Amino acid sequence: MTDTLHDGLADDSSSTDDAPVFVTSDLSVYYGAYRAVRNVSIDIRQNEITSFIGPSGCGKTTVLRCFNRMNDLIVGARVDGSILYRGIDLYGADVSAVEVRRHIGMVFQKPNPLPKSIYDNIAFGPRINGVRKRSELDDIVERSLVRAALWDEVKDRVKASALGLSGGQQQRLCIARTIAVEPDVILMDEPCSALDPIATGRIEELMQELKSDYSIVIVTHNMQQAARVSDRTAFFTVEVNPESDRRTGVLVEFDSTKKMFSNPADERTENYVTGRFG
Amino acid sequence: MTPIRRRSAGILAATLALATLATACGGSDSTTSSSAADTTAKEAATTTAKRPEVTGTLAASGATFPKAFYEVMIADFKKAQPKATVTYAGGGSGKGRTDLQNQVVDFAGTDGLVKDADKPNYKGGEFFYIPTVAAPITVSYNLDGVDKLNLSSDTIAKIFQRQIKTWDDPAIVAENPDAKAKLTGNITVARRSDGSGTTENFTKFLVKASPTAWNLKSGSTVEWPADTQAGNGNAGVAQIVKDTKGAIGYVDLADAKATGLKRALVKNKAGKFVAPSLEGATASLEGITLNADLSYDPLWADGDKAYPITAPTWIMVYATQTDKVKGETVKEFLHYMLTDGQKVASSVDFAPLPASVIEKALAQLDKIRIPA
Amino acid sequence: MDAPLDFRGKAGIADRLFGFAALAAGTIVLVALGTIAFTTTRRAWPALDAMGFDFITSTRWAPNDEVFGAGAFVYGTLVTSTIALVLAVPVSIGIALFTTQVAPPRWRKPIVYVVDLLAVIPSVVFGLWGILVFSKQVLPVYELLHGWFGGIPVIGALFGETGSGRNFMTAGIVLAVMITPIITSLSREVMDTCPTTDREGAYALGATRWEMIRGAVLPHSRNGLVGAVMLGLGRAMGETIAVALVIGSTVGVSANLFAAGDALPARIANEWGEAEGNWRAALVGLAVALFVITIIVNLAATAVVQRTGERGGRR
Ligand SMILES: Nc1ncnc2c1ncn2[C@@H]1O[C@H](COP(=O)(O)OP(=O)(O)OP(=O)(O)O)[C@@H](O)[C@H]1O
Ligand SMILES: [Mg+2]
Repeated sequence: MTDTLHDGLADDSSSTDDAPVFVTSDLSVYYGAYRAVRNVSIDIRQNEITSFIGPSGCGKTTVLRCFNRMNDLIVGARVDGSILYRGIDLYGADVSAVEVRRHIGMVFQKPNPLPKSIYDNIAFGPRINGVRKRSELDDIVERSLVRAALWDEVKDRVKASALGLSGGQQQRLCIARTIAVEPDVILMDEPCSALDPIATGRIEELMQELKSDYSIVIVTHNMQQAARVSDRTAFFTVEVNPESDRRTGVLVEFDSTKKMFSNPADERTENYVTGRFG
Repeated sequence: MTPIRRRSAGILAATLALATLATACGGSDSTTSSSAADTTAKEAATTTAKRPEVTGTLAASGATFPKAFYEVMIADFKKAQPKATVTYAGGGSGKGRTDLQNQVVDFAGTDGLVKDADKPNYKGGEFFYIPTVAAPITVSYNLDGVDKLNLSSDTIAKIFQRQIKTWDDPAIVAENPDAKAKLTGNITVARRSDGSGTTENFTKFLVKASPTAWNLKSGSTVEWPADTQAGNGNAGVAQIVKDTKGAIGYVDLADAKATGLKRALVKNKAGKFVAPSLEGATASLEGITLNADLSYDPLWADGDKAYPITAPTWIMVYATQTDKVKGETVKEFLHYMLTDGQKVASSVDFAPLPASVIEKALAQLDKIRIPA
Repeated sequence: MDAPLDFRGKAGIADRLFGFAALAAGTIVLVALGTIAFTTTRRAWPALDAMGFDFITSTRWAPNDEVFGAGAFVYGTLVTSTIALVLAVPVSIGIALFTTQVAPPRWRKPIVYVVDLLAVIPSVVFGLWGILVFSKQVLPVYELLHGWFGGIPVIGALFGETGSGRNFMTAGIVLAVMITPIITSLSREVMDTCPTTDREGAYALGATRWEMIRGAVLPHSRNGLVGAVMLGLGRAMGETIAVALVIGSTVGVSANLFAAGDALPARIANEWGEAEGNWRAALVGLAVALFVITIIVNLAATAVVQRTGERGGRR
């Protein structure tokens, strides 16, 4: 990526490989007066898959959506602490959320193709980035669909409505759409929760393949999936304040996936990954 | 809305009836309500005779030209005959005639006469025209410094056909040598956007007085040139004349007065320029010939004082009534309008009919057949 | 114990009842439309029969000569409705987008309230405002436009001489004001149904707000928007009293938008009271013409929606 997030600050992805893509420190997220997550500090690394696991409501989605400032769209949502993206404060005063999202793509839990043709869904991103030439767009569409392992299934009907695809196909279309803009990072929020094992397998393969070019963060409830695909795993849980009965998400442990699943440091992680809750 | 109003009117009528009963019991004269009118000695013979009480409810529609007068009549009649109720919906002469054809109203107001071809369409059979009042149609204008404007029918015809487009046209100047200096600027012609009896009578006058100069024919709407301005109703035309320098339009006397418009003097058949007024209208009525069916034409009438654009209006009623109560009420209402009613006509800018016409109209009323 | 299985159940009966009721309602609407078409055509027949095709093609309307050509009024109706749509649609959709996508939530209610308030103002009020205020004040603007564009070939024909403030343009503008609330209201409703997930999908690709609207909200709302515009158009074509007051009531066909003319419903309203016989029949004929035009326009709109729908997103 040679674009700039904002004037004056060049993105230095090429600098050092071990410099993290995201450095999150002491992140707390509020919905109005309600603090949903507190004090999360986590580093996301280049060309790695990082997975977020944890019980429902612990704030995985909330944290994930901070990475591309999706929370800006929720009225009353507010962020404390800092997220540095390649050294730039994502929530800095002169950083535009639109520009952030052009670098950091997102795939949602529920497939959400736009009510347009397959072609237009994928061309949408490049078009808003200024690609106008027909041949170039054709190229991007084909390349993205091929990478998302959807090309063979839809190559005869790219002008047909995207809403006519099956759920799994729609989800792969959404991935194709995301990679069509060539982001730096891809955020995925339970991308396989609505898919059958075969489609899930395809998407997992795809992630492995994409890893060489992108950094990926994935939220999943599927422990095996986290163990299979990710290099690092973060475990979140909910803390209940016994006095106020307030529930707040916290990061319990963050380490290499291997360690998290074989020899976690925290007892709560061990209980969770082995299927014992408590 | 109508039924509610009807009902409340009914309640009102009942209350009034009770009140009358109470005063009657108290021993006072039951003709009190009309005693004020009785002071006019001339028509004493027709008005002091005690009228029979009627109780019908009448619905009517038709010409809007005399509506102001009919509304006064309805209110006054209510005082004289508390148990009777009359409503007059207006809507236009054509609507009134169509409604009467289909017997959806008990009588209709009309500014024009029925064509022979249409007579078989009247489901109730033979009908009578009862003339009620007449009124002048003014030619009103907006021209600074010109307080007196003389116009002949030929000039009016050319102005409204847009052949004369400026006030300094020789034809206008010739008729108004004294105002020559002030006769400047373009003429804006204002006319009706809606079909109307006013247009019909105004154009009939032009057909009659200037058959060669006027070639748009007559009717409740005609093929006006495109560069004339249309106003809705007399009030709409009056508004255009008031708002536009150099404008001229035909407006009934009441609206012309209410809007404060200057009104042209129109040359009559005797060659005199006459201002629109009730006296001028009455003078026109004096010279008319009344046809057997009581139709008559007061336009372009003889007489030095006659105002030549005087419009007639009639009420149409079936000769054979089908309902006793309604039939009697119609007859009483029309009788009231032709007697006491004539005295208040001038207060709303309508000219009363001459006694000779009233006499024949009352005779016609007597011919209305009412089932026993 | 051995009772035969009964799969009919209550729901089955309820469903069938509902189906029947829906069918009945649909039939009633069709029958009503058919009856209206039939009875009006029958009442208009004497005039239609006498005039033949000239009834639509002729632009001469002369009740005194029993000549009834509706051409000028058809033209007036089409011209004024077109002006109204050209002005009202962008404004309405703009307001709807503003309230649903841009305005801070606490502003939305007041804006919606004000716009909806406009929708309940009776048309005669718009008409009177048009004739007493607007048509007078707008005249200098027309003169200015005539000065700017009058000389340009082709386009200049639209901006000819201005006689008075009562003309096609004024009628079109008054209509635009009248139909804006309806189109806005309906557009807002359909835009509100655009799922958050669709909008987030567009945002996640780096769309600005406007790009998100073009990519997600508009394609999602397209059918609804066409419906909203059609309802607005229906009101514009059928509007009677306001148009009657400001269009100038002149029988004429002119490309000049500043020329006086007349529209179908306005002519009916203006002449109904005085008309009899064939004249009255011809006025009913104008109503039939309006009915037919409305149907044609609606069918055309449906066809357009379907055609573009096949190519685009909605299935
Ligand atoms: N838009 C919102 N407004 C208010 N509260 C919210 C909002 N979104 C999420 N929350 C709250 O924040 C907390 C964390 O929610 P979040 O969606 O991040 O959980 P999650 O870990 O993704 O859960 P799941 O596994 O079920 O998806 C929850 O208590 C939730 O109710
Ligand atoms: Mg979640």
